[in-house]
Amino acid sequence: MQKLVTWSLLTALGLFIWSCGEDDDPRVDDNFDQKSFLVNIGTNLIVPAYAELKDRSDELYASLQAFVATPNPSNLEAARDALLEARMAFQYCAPYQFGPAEQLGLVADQNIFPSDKNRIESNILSGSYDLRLLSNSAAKGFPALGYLLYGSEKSDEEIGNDFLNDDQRAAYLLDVAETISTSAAAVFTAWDPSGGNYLAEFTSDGALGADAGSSLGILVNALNLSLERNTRDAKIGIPAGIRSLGIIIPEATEAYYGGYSKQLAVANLMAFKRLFLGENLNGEPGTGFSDYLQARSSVSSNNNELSLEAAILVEFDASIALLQALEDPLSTSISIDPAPAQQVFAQLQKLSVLLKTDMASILGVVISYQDNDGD
Amino acid sequence: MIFRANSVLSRHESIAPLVIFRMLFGILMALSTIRFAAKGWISELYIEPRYFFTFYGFEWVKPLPGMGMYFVFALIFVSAVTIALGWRYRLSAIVFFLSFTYVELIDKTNYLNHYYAISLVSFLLIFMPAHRRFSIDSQRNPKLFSRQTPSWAPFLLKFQLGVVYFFAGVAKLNSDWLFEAQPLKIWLPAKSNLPVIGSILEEPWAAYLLSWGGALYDLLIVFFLLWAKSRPIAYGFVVVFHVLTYLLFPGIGMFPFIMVGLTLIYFSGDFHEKVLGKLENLFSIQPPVQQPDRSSQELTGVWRMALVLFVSWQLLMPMRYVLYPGPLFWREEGYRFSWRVMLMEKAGTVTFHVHDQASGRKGQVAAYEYLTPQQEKMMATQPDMILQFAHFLAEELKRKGLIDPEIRAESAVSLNGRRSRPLIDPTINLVHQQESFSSKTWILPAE
Repeated sequence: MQKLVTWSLLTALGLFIWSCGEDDDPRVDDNFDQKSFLVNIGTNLIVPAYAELKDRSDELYASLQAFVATPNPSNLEAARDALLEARMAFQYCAPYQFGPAEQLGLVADQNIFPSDKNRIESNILSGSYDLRLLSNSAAKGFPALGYLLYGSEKSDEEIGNDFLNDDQRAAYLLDVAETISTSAAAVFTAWDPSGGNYLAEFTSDGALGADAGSSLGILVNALNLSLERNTRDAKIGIPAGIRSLGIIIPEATEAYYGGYSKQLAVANLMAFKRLFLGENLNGEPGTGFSDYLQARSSVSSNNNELSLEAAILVEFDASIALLQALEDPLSTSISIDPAPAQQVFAQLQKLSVLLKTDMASILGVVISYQDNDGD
Repeated sequence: MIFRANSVLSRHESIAPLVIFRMLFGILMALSTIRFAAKGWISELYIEPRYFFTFYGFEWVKPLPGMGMYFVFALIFVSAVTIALGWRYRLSAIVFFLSFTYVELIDKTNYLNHYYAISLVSFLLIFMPAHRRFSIDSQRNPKLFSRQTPSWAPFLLKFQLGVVYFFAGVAKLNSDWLFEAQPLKIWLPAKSNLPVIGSILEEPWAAYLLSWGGALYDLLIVFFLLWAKSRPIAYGFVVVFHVLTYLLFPGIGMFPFIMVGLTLIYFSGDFHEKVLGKLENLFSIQPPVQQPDRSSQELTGVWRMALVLFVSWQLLMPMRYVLYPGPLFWREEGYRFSWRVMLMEKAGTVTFHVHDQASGRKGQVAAYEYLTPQQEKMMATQPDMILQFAHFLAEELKRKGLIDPEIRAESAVSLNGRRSRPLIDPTINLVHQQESFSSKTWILPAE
């Protein structure tokens, strides 16, 4: 009897709500195909980005070998170009520092900045060093190559001669490049379907959903961590004095010696925007977070003029525009006037808020780089 | 829930439900502690953080240094086991209550309603004769053995669990939950990968059905559990409901299993007598025949007062939010200790602007430089924690040589799918604001 009453109550309630739900917005597709979203991100964005990084890293290593063999200005120029290419390729991998990249410590091998020139010089001088050590993170990677290839206040001639006259210096340069190349290859192989095939794991049915440990959860957390700490803070905020009560730290810029920190930051932000839109490296469209948000628009109960996906795009474009307006070398321009860079920081903050708070919330992803119970 | 005060205060009934409750509680707590330790949370939550968000009035509670916290968790585990065994039961219950509650008071980041429930239940168990049958204590001292317990003991446990359910239901009676089906409208589609039910969870009506069903369940289940005729079906609902919540929200951890185990207290003395009889046979325990004098267990005088006070406190505490201006979910004044479980999708970010008056220098501090990700996440949506952190930050900056730093919070919080808005007035220097029981004037409106 009791059962009957309860069930009939529940059924009645269900029918009532069903009938209320009929006039829902018809353009809303709640049945978003999360799998095809992950397949697009994994296959068309992440794997090609790591393939590109691997290729550019290999080319960098090769051109440095050529330079060390013949340290003339034209080989130096070629090596510098290869370094820039590889650093640009890295920017497109920056949002994906999870899974293999995290386990293999890609960032620690490739892009810890600012580099520690004293450590680099003492490593060269001693000739005995282990680049795998954590303590050597700031003495390797692209920033270390930047220091070695651009030096400070030296002519190209002098830089070439440094390597000509100092075998240990040349050996160190090649060791750093080899570490970069090995690291990029390892991460690519781990993702590659014909290698470790982490791609299959990333797109597997078991990794669907939004819980901690799901691919979506991992991706959203990784992109926010990277955008907040590496893009907003490390690339802009810290050099512009945001974290040091206004004291400018020019040498904390990403490419302090190469002088193209802004260029790298623009590429980095483009990588995030393409991830958001689901566009591949050539800018061709695919399923991205913007589509995901559109499919979930029925859950955001607000009267904003702009949909969340449109609002995020506005912040992306504003961030990229403000960033473009900065001048390279960033270390010089922020020393003259830090205000524009501080504006970029504030703008990136707005972008970060929408991605970390609003987007994560709508997608049901918990922002926590830590496992825990909740209620 | 009609209990005649007199019968509760002076009658006696079978001790079996209480004894089984004691054992289940001890076993579940021991398992929970093992799980907690296995996940590495002792170190992650109580050793690694450099700052802890204490509760108002409990600022003196600090974690133990070195391996001390492992020792505390060992105490929790051992006392849970000895509660289950009924060995030095009263001491065990006291040790469990104190050590468990101490841990919960260290950092409000880790506050969970079910931890609060566990503290309360273990506190109640201290005063109950739950060790007078099927326990090492009653085996070693047959005079202790009793087939009866004063009725107030099982009553209080049923009352406590009933309060958890009922107020969890009352908390769901808000427009977001009932009319927008929020936050389930966000949470359920995120689970659409689940087998069988997954595709249903994407339907908007599923969110409404589970919102209303959940509210009705919480509000009514206690009454159906109390009523003998509906009890078996109601318990079926308890099992289904908690298994469902576990499948949908694995993040709620041990809570579903604890509730499934502990709600057995609602079953009759006869039911528990049968179970306990079998257990006694299994362990070949021969209960003594004679009944000891039980007059000492009567609840009299000051204890009656204490019981009334406890019951009143439990009924009033969840309602204290009416003393604050609200909206409750936005401001969270009077939110904790009120059985508001899985009630809102709230996320935020906060950054701190520092202005050093003396030098005129300005900058920002990212909370991640000082807090764990979990602490940062919990702080970002809770004004009292933002205030605490601002004060901590001021002290840190003073240690680094700043004389009179001003600290302002730039915050953005999204509640139940609404576009994020600032939570804290960014013009207010938080260093000059103090925590108190009065309402915070520097929280911005929700809309």
